[in-house]
Amino acid sequence: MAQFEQLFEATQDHPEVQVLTLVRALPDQVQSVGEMLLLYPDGRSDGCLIDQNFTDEVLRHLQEQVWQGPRLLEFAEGKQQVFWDKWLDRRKAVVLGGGHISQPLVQFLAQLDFDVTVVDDRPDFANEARFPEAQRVVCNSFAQGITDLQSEMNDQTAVVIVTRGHRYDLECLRKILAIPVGYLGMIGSKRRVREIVHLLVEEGFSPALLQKVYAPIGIDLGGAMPAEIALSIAAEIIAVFNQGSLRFLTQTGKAEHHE
Amino acid sequence: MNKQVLEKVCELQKAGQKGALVTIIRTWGSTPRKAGSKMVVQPDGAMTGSIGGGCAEAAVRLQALSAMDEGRSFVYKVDMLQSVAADEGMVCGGVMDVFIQMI
Repeated sequence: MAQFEQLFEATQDHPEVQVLTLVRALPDQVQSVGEMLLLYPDGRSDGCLIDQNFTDEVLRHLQEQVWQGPRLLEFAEGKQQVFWDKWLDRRKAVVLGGGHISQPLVQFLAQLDFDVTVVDDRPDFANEARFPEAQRVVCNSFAQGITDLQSEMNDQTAVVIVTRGHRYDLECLRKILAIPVGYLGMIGSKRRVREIVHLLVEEGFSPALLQKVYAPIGIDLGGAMPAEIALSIAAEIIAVFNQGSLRFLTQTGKAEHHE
Repeated sequence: MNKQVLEKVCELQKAGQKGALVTIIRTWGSTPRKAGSKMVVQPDGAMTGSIGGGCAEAAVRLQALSAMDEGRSFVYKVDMLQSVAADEGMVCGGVMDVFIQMI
């Protein structure tokens, strides 16, 4: 009936597929309820809702709409309803550095449904026993590790630079800056971050690009334990991905729960 | 849309097994999860994914199970304002439409 298999295959090749599902129809169209129409980024579509006429009407209507999250589209005064959803690539996180903050950070991110990859050049730190929740642990130089991962990074990827030293952080930042990721954060004190930014601007990197880096990393939770810092980094990533306000709910006046 | 849920749906379809994909399509007021949240219900009651847990999810699960007998996809309204819900400690105070879709 519905083309789930087709959708699944499409998601292997496309990071983003729109899915339109007929959820309500006129009495003589009930057999069509559950039909799905898939829309690809290049404008191609697959499937049919009720008939060609209605499918065209839906596609026309879509052109006037702006995506603001999954929602219901209504036709014929609500007697026909189509649910508009989007397949989004699973969120990924790349943690560069396998030190004491990385351990709780990887645990938090895995819990938050990220596919996590850890990279470190030291076998003692880059091993699966140390990061059982990671999807993948890479033992390689940071430069090579990033090059290998580059093709899978996109706006659904968070990159966290938490290596053991200034030199490695800088090496990572140089490479990652060229990749359009959803979140890029780097650990370091204000002073150290300022020095690094200064150096990279001198090297010719655009200041605007560097301004997008979350450094010093994390939100101010007031903690200093590795797990507290990891939590503050994870919280920052979630806030960026979900466009959270980072305020106490008691102060935002929102009655709703978090999603 | 969640990969785990989609994989489950495909797995059931391939095996020729029955199942229902449940999607929150609209919410009013305060609900634990928003439109787009999904779960799969299998005839034995097993679930993959979540639409927010609690008795709302349990009520939807029952609906999905009986829908599988009829093989019909439909929209089901879940009202969390009712006193029953409050009695169960489910005090979100929202209403949501879910689409129960046969796999």
